[in-house]
Amino acid sequence: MNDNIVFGQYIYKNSFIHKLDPRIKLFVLLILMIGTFLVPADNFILLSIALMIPLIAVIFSKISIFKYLKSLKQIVFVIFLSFIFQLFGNEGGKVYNIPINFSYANLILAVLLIVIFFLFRKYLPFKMLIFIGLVVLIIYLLRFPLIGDPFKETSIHIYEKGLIHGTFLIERILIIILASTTLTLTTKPTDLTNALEWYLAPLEKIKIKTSIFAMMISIALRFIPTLFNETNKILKAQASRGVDFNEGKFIEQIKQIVSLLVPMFVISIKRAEDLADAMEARCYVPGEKRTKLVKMKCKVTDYLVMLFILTLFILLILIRCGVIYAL
Amino acid sequence: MGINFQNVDFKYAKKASKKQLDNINLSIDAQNEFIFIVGHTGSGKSTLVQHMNALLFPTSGKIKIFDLNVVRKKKTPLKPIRKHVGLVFQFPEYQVFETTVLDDIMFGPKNFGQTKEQARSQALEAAKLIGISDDLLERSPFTLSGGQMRKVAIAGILAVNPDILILDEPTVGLDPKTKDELMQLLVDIQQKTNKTIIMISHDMNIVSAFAKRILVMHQGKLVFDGHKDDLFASHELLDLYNLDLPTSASLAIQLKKAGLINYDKLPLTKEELLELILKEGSYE
Amino acid sequence: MFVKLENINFKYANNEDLILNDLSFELPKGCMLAILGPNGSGKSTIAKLIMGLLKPTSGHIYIGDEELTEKSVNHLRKKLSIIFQNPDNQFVGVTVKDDIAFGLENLKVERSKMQEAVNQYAQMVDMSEYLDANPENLSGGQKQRVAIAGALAMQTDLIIFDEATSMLDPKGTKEIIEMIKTLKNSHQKTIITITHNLEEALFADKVMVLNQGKIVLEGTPREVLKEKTILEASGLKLIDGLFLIDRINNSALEESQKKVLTDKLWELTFKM
Repeated sequence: MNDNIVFGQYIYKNSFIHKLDPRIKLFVLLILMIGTFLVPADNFILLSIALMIPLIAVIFSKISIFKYLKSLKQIVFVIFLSFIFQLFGNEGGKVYNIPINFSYANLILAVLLIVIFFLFRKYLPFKMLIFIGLVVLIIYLLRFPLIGDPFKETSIHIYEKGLIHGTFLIERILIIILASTTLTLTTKPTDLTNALEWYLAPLEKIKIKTSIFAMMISIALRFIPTLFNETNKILKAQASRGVDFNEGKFIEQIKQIVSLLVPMFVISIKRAEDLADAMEARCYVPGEKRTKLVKMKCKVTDYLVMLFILTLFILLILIRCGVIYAL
Repeated sequence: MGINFQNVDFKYAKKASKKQLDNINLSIDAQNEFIFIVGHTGSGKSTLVQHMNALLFPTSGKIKIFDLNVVRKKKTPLKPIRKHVGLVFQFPEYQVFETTVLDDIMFGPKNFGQTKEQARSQALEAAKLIGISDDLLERSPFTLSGGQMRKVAIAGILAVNPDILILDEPTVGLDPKTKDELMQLLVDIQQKTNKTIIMISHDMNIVSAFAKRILVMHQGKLVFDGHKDDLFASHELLDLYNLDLPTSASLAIQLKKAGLINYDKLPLTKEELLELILKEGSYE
Repeated sequence: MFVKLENINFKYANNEDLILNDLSFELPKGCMLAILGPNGSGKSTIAKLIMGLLKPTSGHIYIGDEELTEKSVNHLRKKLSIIFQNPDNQFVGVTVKDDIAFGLENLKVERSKMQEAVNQYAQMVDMSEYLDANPENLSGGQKQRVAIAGALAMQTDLIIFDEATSMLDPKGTKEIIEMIKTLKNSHQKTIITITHNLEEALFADKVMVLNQGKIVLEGTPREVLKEKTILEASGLKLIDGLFLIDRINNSALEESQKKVLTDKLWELTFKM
């Protein structure tokens, strides 16, 4: 009952990044995203400058680096895969040959390493990183036949271009993930909604009711934790009636899922009706103009951040267009 | 022995400083008990009964339910525990889902491995016990009134035929007449089947009228376990745990103050108070 | 008259049964009315009709001197507010202060005034410490108090409590009942409370008992509470004090004793 579920990733800290106007933060994120894709391929200096921006934000946010690593953890595998694709999908430039010599001893060693990894997987931090490291290590080990002659000799070709593209891609993904994680870690979901509503406001002029859309998001934010609690209760209530998802035939399992879904729907519909009544009773008229309790206010620092980002962005465009050849 | 708690602690997270349950020692018989659990919102009442149904597991300490250990292990089957102890949650909306009342009551027994015919006969029996009339059995549970739906939810657990029946605030939100009716049915069921019934309630009028034994929870601790007379006679206990007196008991105290009645043992229900008033010699 | 219902009939579109059957009553400004009745007697329907959330099948509703119609509803609602039964389902804001401000935002109140009102009414319902709290971390009673603050902030003339205590624990119930008493005594609001507990009707100016869509009893609490047979036939339960009075009156005690005892019980019942 009392497990306080905090929705979203927001972590309160008294930092310069937290205090920035959410609109500015959204703007910076957008510019960064566009910017990283505008950086000409193989221009590492420019991309590194782009990487500096989220890194600075991460440091200033006063939030433990582990929180950021956690969000990266979930996509390490995706990053690794796209790196591999880039690595082998591009030909050109210098060629590096990595000899691979299959010998029985080496293969056994490789299998042994993987087995050990899976045995101790439970106790390891950063499993995915270690696994990727292991694969690289095995490939490296295969170069040196330990005992006996290799029964097959081959080699992997890696092109310089592939290497550059792969690294470039990793860096781009890193920038976007770090920047968006910073945004969600340092901004309350409601503030984000407000910022989004502000950006969408001009659409009201062409008769698109963005205020209704914003109200929907804010209601969703309000009720997601409640629904989560509710689902938990339904799960428990049905568990008392013998529902066990680990057993039973397929048909029975379907029935068990239905036993969760129906109460969830029934309760949600009742909730929606009640909520609609409560909102209407408090004079809410969909689409009508409302005032807002929270005011988003741009401070000097907000303008400075915006100016800084815009300057960098304009410089980037000038470089891209060939006006400036500085870098 | 039905339920046995030994030095049970419970926390939601390992590192949490607050204990939801704090050193609970408790034993409950498998038969013939009528226990009420009282205490403020957040005092740990719900957490306590969820342990009895193996929905939560102790952080430390030991719980035995009919000689089965309640531990969180992958291979420990939980169904046998839940077969012995049935838990009815506060709102029937959390569990009712079938298209007809009868099907919904049959869902439990079927999950516990009964054949369709067995489940049906047990469901019919449970429906009869809790007073669901035959014409309701083929109706959709969602068209029923609040009181009737509660009965369906209780029947859904009764049909599993547990030895111990736990109810989490079954009367909240019902009108007074329906409330009385439901309580009377539960008392009848207890007497007919000799099952142990455990009930969470805030309503001291109900507690004082029906309880044999009362457990008081306060900040995760079990602070009182005994007869209702001992609890309600003690002003210190009631004040300490912020519990109300039943209405008739407070009326009796006021009447005594006004010199209209006199008693040695505080009357707890309106019937007891009436008897006292009508008895000659209890007033001047 | 502030609220006036005239020959109201109501039934749902998909059902033939009349939920309300030729119902008429009036409520003057500053008066507190308690509507009693068992579940399903149609008492919550009355609340929704007055709020303009449902439309009567036939009959007229007047708020102030104006008839409640589809045209006037948005403007008349500014005079009305309601606290519903389920504390969770009427909490619109993500935080306490957002929720108190919700109605004011709809009324297009200026920001500075809104902030002032939020603080003022949060303090009135004793929720100042929780302005930034999420509803998940509040008790049912606290959520209902936030709802009351939201209603007060809108400065409506009428507040309806539609079984506002029925899902609360005793502590929450007491808090809300105290709040209703305060509103009645020191704020001169027009109040309608809808309940199935006789206790909550004791301090009303006027009590109305509803059964199967019809008014079966109307009067002051003292008048109504004496009608034991009608109350019980309407699915209501006599509270302990009244039960005792009834039994003592029918007992073999001497008349003088009866009078002393019943007078005292009557007094105690209203004091509690």
